[in-house]
Amino acid sequence: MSKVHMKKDELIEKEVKQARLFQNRRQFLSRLSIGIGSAALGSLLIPDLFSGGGADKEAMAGRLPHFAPKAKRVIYLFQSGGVSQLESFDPKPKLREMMGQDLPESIRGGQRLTGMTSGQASFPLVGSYYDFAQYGKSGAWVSDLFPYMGKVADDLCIIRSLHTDAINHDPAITFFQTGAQQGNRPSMGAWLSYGLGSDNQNLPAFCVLVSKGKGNGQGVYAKLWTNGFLDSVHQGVQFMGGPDPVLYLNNPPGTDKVSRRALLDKLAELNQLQFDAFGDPEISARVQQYEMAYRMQTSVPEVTDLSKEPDHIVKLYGADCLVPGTYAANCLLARKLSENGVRFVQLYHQGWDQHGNLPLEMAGQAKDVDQASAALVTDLKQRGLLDETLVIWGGEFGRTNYCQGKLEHNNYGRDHHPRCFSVWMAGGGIKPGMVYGETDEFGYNIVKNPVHIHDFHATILHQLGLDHEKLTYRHLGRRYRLTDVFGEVVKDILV
Amino acid sequence: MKSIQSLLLNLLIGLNVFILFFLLFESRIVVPVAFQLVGRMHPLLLHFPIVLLVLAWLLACFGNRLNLQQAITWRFVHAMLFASAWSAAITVVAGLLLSKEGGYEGNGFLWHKWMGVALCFMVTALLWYHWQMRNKESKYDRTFLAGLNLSLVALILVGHFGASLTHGEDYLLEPLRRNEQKTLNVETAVVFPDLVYPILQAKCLGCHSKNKAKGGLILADTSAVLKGGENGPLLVKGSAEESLIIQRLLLDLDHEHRMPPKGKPQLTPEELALIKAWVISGADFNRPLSAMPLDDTLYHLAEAVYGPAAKESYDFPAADAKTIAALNTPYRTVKPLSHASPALAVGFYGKAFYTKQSLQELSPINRQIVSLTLSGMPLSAEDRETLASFVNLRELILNNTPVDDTWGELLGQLLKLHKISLSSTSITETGLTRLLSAPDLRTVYVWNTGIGADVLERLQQEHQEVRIERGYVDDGNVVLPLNEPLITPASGFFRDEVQIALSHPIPGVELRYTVDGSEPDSLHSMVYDTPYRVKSAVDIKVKAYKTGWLSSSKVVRSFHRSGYTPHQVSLMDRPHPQYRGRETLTLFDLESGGSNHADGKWLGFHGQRMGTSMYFDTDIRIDTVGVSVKQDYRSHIYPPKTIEIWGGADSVSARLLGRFHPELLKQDQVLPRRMIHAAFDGKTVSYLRVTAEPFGSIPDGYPGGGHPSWIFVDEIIIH
Repeated sequence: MSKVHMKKDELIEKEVKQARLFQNRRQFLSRLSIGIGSAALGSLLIPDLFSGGGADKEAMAGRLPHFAPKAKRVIYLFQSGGVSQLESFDPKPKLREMMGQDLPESIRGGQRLTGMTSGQASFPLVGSYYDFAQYGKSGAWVSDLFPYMGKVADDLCIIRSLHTDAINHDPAITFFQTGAQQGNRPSMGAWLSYGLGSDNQNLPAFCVLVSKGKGNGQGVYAKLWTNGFLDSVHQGVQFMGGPDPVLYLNNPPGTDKVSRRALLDKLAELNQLQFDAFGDPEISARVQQYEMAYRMQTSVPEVTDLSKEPDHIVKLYGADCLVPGTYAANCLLARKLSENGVRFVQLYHQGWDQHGNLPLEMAGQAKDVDQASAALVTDLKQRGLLDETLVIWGGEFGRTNYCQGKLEHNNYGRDHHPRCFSVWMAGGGIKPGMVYGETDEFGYNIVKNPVHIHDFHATILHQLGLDHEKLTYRHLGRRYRLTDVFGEVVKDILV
Repeated sequence: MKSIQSLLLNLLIGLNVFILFFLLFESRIVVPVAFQLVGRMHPLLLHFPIVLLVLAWLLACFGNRLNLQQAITWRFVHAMLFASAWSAAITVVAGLLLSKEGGYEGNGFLWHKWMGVALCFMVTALLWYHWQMRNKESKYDRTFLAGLNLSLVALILVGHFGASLTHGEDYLLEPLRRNEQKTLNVETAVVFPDLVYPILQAKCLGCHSKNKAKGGLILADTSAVLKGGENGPLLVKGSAEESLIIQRLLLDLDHEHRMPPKGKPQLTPEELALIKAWVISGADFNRPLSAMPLDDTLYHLAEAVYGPAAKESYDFPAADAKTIAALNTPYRTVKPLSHASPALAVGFYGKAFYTKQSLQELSPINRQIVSLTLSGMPLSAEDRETLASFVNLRELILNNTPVDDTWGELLGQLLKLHKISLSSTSITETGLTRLLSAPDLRTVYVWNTGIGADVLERLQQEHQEVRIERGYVDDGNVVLPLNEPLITPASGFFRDEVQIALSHPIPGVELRYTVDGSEPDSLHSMVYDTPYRVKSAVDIKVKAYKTGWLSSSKVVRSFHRSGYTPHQVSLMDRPHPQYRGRETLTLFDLESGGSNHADGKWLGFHGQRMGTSMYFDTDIRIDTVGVSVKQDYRSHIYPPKTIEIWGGADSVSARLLGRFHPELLKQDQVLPRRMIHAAFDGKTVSYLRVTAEPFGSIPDGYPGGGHPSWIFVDEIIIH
């Protein structure tokens, strides 16, 4: 009896347990389904969930500034080799007083040296061979080597406190261009092309112009205007000085415009077939590139034709501006490209690496660039374009306050110096007539308002309406930025 | 009843999962416009969880003091928790949606967001825990109460961060600080009341008010400020050093008379500089900021203290995205100024593709266009009418277009226009005067328009509020040197004849040249006209001239005729490995080496002889042999010390025909290249050998003295 009873109890208990289990399972499932349902509901808010791509694609599609920009375009006058700040924009009378005396160890503070001076027994200080004068209402000090820049000093913001991590040319210039010392990252112009797109669909968004001075030169290679991991449409396009400004743009001999058009149309049809079959967006990107190259056949000769520039413009930039391949000609061309909506025009002028023979070589270099650089600022201004175009002038690092090699009263050299150097910016919402940052009386260390290259990049992007922390691209499993994980916008120099 | 409760519980869990999902995929989520409504209810909804949670906390902690039965307390608390968990979840969802609208960033926001989310999960967890205790008779355990307390703390923090977001960082403590932050309208601001006085009010009035008046000084109003205190007047207009107020402000912090005294809130450097600048500018009480020069220190300081002027806002709705997309062509770019901005910027490119419809087609978005670039486009009268409908234009760039005075009136009617560029147009004084009536105009660019300097000067005087930019004017006082003319071909060697052409990059230049060795000048030398042919060696000297310019430097090029080419050449000595050129071909290729001796067109020898053997098929009669060498003393490149010419029927029977010692010119006379001629009186040979010996030791007094010299040869010429 009891046995049966027990069995009955057990059975009931089992039933209850089962029911409860079932109940729990049902509840669990129903709750799970609600959870999944919620997730599904949420997924409706993601427009491109099933179309591949991701956040980066979304960022690409917009191609708009994050906020209203001050500058629409950039012209970067890169002075390759490392201009001496001590003979340009950062006068140090103390160095003249202490001519020939050794650089105090306390000032050097363990700074690593390049292999070119690390073996030197002494580091004799050397003052500028050239005098400085104050210019404009701002009273900015500019050396006698740059009288034309002096005349536009009230339009410039001279930053004396830039500093970098690199001490040799290639890493330093790569750092300036890409935000990293090792190669393969996208250049600044490529980032801007990616972030903002092109204003003029008939020209590349990122154009590169190279010229060479007579001074000691350092290599400038295509890796500096690379698209890195970005799409190849963002790569810089080099404009040459010769009869063929953009290589491979002209039709091959025997092909006229009409047959070219027919060829492109047919090719586009074939590509469309391929696209329909595979859906690879690179195919349509390629078609667009063909079309752009076709349009460039008209736009490039138009923009590179300097022969129609009036005499007073030639006088403004200097006679060399009509000699293709010179810095002056490149400045004039930069103005025309920028005027035609090119987002980023990158100039390089080689020959600023004065390890020796500095007074003479630097005079030659300054003569190459002084008038044309100032002219570019003036020319943009008189066309009402300076306020929307950011012009930047400067090299990849500064030069030491001590002499490299033999110190003579009228001849000396300077080695690379990463701790401080001067650049100037003009237009594009940067405060005009300002001198920012300060170095010590030896011109060796920064004592006020240092600006690191990452800060410099962040500021440039900010002026173009881009938040440097938001302009990212996903590559190799993580997001990349021009400013890596650093950079503060230098608010003090903004209008 | 129970099923409803169960359903609600399930839904609550669903909502929490949804929040989790939202957070995980936040960067990819795009909120539809309708949902933004929900987002904007966040400020309303957030009050519910606050009140409900506080009630739950009160009941749970103090319920037993009210002698309530635990079961009843439980039911009340449960109801409160239930409602607060629900409202918290909805609030969080709304908040997340709101945050996607943009404009929310910074640490305060991140704290608010993550604490808010944490609070929501926490309350839901508490609810679940509370449910487990439904049949207990005893009081709440410590775990539950601790959780509840923690939630309350989180609630307060979330609320605080949220309030800071809405009302600003300093909202809570603002009354304590009495630090008034206000925006400054640069156009209407008056220096003293808007810039200087607020500083006095904040930092001085505490002790120098009508109630307190320390030192007999009252700063309550203008007349009182002027009057000064026991120690005399405060201000000496125009002199900061002599003004008592500045003196006191600049004293050492420990000084007895320092103002504000130690321990009181001090002036910031910007504030101090502002007061100083005001005193220096004359301590005028009524002067508007706009009457100061634009580059005045006061402007910069005003900005430093009050922040930059307010951003532009637009009072029109955004245009339809599809319309905008459809209006973009390769030759016309239409883009919003920035993400989520209703304002559009339009640029036209490619003159050849500009038609009469190009501008007209923009009519659907004529209200939204604020910035327009038409540089270089062939505008017509119709375009003028179209442009009149772009009523919100702020920036207009019309450089190098057919715009003339008929446009002046229209442009003057664009009420919002700030900036217009009319450089290189046919606008004259009449048109510019009309244009200047545009009420909001700030800058006009009229470079290269033909409006006289005096007219512009006068207009600028009459319209102080507008900056008239004239740009660079070539007044004829700046005289620059022309660059060098070009002589083609680049190579100075030819076989039978050569066509010589002169050119210059600058149009309108006159090229004058000589071929007789005399110096070219602007009066007597021949004027270059067309290319011409020469058959014998010639030295050309050219200079470029143009009125308004200095003449160019002189360009000299020697052309040498090469009579014979040997059939076989061999180098008896190896050139330096870096400067091998094209080996033997280099010497008879009729190509000149360039200024760079590493360009592959030079053969270089360092401290070592150059010897060349030349074989001819037939007997030749030679008069001269020329050796073309490079000279660059600073690089230790010198002419050979000795040149020997050997000749005969073959290499064995060759005799020395002559030995020459080229003159070593002084460094300041040296040209970068030089042809060294060795002349004989008619020798017949079929084998020729030329050797050139460098200096084993460069003579003293020359660069590199004591070291062996280099020789560089690019061509040998035989006549």
